[in-house]
Amino acid sequence: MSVATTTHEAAVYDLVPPDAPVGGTRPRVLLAGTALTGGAIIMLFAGLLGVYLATRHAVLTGPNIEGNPPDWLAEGEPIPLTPANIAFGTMLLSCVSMQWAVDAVKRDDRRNVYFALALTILFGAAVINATSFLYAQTGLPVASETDPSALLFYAVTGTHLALIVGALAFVCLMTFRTLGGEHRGRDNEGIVAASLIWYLTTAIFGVIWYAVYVTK
Amino acid sequence: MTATQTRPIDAEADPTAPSGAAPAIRGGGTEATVAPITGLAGLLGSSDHKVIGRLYIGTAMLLGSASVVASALVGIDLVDQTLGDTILDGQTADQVVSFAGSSAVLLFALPALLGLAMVVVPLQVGARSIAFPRAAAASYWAFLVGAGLIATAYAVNGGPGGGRSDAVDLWVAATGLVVAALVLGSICVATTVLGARTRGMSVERVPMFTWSMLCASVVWLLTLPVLGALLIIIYLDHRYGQIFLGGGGPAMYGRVSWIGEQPQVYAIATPVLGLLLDAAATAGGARLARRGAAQVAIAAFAVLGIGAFAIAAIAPSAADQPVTKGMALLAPLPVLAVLGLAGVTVRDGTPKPTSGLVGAVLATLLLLLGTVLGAATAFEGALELAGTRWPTAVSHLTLAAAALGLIAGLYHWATKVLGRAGNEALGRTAPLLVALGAVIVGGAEAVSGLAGDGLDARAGIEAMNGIAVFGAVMVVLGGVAAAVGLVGRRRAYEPSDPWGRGQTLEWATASPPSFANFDGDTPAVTSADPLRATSEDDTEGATS
Repeated sequence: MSVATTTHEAAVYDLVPPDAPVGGTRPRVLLAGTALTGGAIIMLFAGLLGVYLATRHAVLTGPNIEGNPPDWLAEGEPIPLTPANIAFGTMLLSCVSMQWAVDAVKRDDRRNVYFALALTILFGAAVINATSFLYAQTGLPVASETDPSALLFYAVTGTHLALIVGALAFVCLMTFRTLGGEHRGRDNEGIVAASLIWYLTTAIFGVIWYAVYVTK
Repeated sequence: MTATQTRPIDAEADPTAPSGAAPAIRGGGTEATVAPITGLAGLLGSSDHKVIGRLYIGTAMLLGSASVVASALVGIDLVDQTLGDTILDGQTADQVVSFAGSSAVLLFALPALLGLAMVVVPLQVGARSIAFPRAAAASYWAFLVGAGLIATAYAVNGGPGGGRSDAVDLWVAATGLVVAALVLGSICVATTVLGARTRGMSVERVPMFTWSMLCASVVWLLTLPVLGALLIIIYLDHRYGQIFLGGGGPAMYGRVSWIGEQPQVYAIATPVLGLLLDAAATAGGARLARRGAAQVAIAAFAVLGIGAFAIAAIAPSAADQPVTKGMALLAPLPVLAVLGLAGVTVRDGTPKPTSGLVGAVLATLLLLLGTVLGAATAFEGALELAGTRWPTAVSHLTLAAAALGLIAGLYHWATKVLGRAGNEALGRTAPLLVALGAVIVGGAEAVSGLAGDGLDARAGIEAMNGIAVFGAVMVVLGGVAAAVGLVGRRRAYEPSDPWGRGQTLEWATASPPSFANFDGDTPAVTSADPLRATSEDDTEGATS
């Protein structure tokens, strides 16, 4: 090794002044990771909905099919709006209970935390149930000989169902950690992260509700 | 078993250490925390970012070799201007083309650079570990399983163009798993930069490679999910309908091939720019010129590499839109800016042609060439480039730049990644071979494209295909030489900073770094180049 290198390493040895000023407040790791995950989830659904809407536009502005004018989700109105409305309303309610849990954690009110998180999980399970009921009620086959609407419908809503399951798993994990006494007072990063994902799941459901269920 | 064990790390305790070498980092006494489990169990169960990064790099390089072989087979088959009639039959040719294209990005370039970042970024930001270490480990193992399933799918006649429907589905699902793994890895790297930096290290002070990885990771995790969305639709369509996308032939690969095409391919090569600036500052021994401008240039290049908005499934006419053409025209500017800043940095110092600097400069020049060729696609109509091999030349040059960046990065941080220094002679020669080969490949393809060769084979330019194959052979030889130069040397005592001019925190750690990266207290910094700043302070103090 050269002398210069040795000198340099000697300098390295003293590089840190003991009273080095602390930098600005660092974003907490779990929240930063959750925000980035949220960005990835948004792009996933942007891609799905982008293909859905672009294909729907192409079909509806395209040529007649077998002499009939182009239609999307053909054969009347196979997707009932009522279960979708109930599911969306339940998701909105779950946001209230989720925020209730976050607020209770901040106040160290453990009884309200447990109750609010249990309610959120219950609401989430209810949305899964409502969507399953909707699938059963429509009886829409995945494969169609005329248009890709059913396939894309299941792609978008099915992926969101998977997101709800994943978000519920995250909420459950944070619930268990809260039960173990990990989250309390100012140390509420886990619950806040779970709530961010849950709000995002609800927001995406809102977009799907309008773009897929309402406007069809 | 105890969770950790300790060992002395002072230089005097190492019989191979040269006299006078000082411990690499201040504080914490003479004990270091090391991983308690070694061998295969330690490898399989490790959540140490350095182990995971090495696994990523090693696996990606193996898979990259397979990708290069596939590309060479396609090139040889194309010498007579017709695909699928020489050494590959029609169906196999489609499979080999899709494997070569998708694996170059998803199984080689992206995971290899991610692996390099997993090793280096936590060291550069002064973190004890990567953010979410178990997620990072899960990312690697999911990637490995996904890559294995992709290989299995092709082996049983699957993949786009495959004849076995279940195996085609397996390819789609496995590719989705790889995408999910890479997104997870990107989240870990980006979160490390955002949330695990040491005291005093603001975002403005992070080293340039770390900055470039932050930009690249964010773009990757904003664009790879769009590929994931397409794969979900492709899977459902192929498994249940096959009316939307027309089955599992080349059209299926056409739906996902944008990930390796302009502009998205630029995002994959973004870390090359940060590597160049770090290598220039280290090799030049000078403070990086105009950090703010460098950060803006790198971020701009990453943004110009967002191609998810322009995919045909969502926006069929996006390629003709002014914004797409404008992005293509602007892409060379950030590369030029970074090259200029690197030049100024080197000029201000006393440069040494280190292997890292040589490789990084060549990689950036390749990237510049790729972006310049890419800019010509803005005039696709006038130049009649649509459907020709011109875009393939852009992709190949950019991916070669990423590969060369990986080589340069491995040589630059060899003591941190591998625990031993690379062979400097080979480290300077191999990039030259790779760069020359890539220029030959890209040049031949660009000439073929200008002649109109592509979807419609043009007679009379067969020689160009032969020249491209020759260039590919040079790339392979360069890659082999680089690998030999990296692994061919025995482990020996390595100083914490083999270049003697390191300015950023990774050069303050031992080589290889200990389990917890920084023994004793984690370092705190007061400038963007803390090691250099300290050296200058010492010099000024001695003078006064």
